Amino acid sequence: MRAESLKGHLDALVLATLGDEPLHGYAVIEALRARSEGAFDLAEGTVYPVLHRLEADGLLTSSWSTVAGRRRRVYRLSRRGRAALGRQRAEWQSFARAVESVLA
Amino acid sequence: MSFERTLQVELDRVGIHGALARRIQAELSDHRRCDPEAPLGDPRELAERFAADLRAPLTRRAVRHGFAALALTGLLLVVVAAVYSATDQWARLDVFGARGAVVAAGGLAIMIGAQVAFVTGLLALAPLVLGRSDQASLLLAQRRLAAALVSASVVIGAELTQTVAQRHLLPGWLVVLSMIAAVAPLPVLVSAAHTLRIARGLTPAVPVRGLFPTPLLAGVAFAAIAAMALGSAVVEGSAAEGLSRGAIEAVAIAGCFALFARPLGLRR
Repeated sequence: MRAESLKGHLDALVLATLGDEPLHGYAVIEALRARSEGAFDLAEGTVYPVLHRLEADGLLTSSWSTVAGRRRRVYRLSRRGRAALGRQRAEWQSFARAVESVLA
Repeated sequence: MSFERTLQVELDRVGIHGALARRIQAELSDHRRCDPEAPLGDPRELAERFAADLRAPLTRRAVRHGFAALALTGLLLVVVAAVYSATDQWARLDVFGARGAVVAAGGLAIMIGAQVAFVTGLLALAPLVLGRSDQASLLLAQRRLAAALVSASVVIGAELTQTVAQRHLLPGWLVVLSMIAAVAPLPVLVSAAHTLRIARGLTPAVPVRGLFPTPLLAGVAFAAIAAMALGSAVVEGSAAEGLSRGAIEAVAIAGCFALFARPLGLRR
């Protein structure tokens, strides 16, 4: 799927990816790819500015962790982020239903 | 040039330096260790995307922290003034003695600094409350916040100077209370200034347009001068005191307007 198709949805996708467990940047991209069954194959660099922006907006928190001697920045949803994810899910479901009813 | 070195140059070019640049480098280096062939994209585009994505949220965060610092500074100033009044300490102050000039200058700095901080702090909030995140609006919010933080720093400096100058005339507990009240907002203020500096570095200089017509600004200035003159006259029970404070307010407003109207985007 082309990056333009994801424009406007990437924030929600990243929040949803972090909804289950804290992840570092590479794992977020891998999870996006896996959960979309390869449909969301992004230019990988584009996810990091999104992670930083969501953190600056208070929707994510992050901390360093060391795994096998390598420092990694691990991101997790904040309380505000979880609330924002809930809102964005509801909006998407409502939008998808409306599109489906027109296209079906 | 390696990807890392090129990215460092590009981050520097868009205004991302220091700890933030090091963090981005560390995250992307870790990504490349996970997958050496990872398509991270062009370093120039990546750096520009970081700058574009971060300038608005960092400006919003700086304004939030800055406004908290201003509110705390104002609240503590009022609390200390109320304690002075309740314990009848104003009469102890040596306004006409050797250190009278320091006390008077401090009082003037507090009066003007507090008002400038209040007005510029509110103006900094305006573009963000209105949901504007274009570069000109962010730049205006940043300039206004900078003026507000500098003014709050002047107020804090004046509070400390006054307390130190008059410490031999005041009870020890009040000196300690005044000092604590003066420095308590500093951590939040410094945090706001730090975030503002980063956000400012990410925001290119673009032309800003003034927002308010001159008659509206003149009306607001007149209302502030009248409120100061009338309020002082009533509180002090003296028309002369009201007139003199009104005159000081008028001079201060005229001076601040001459200094700030254009850079802070006030005059259309």
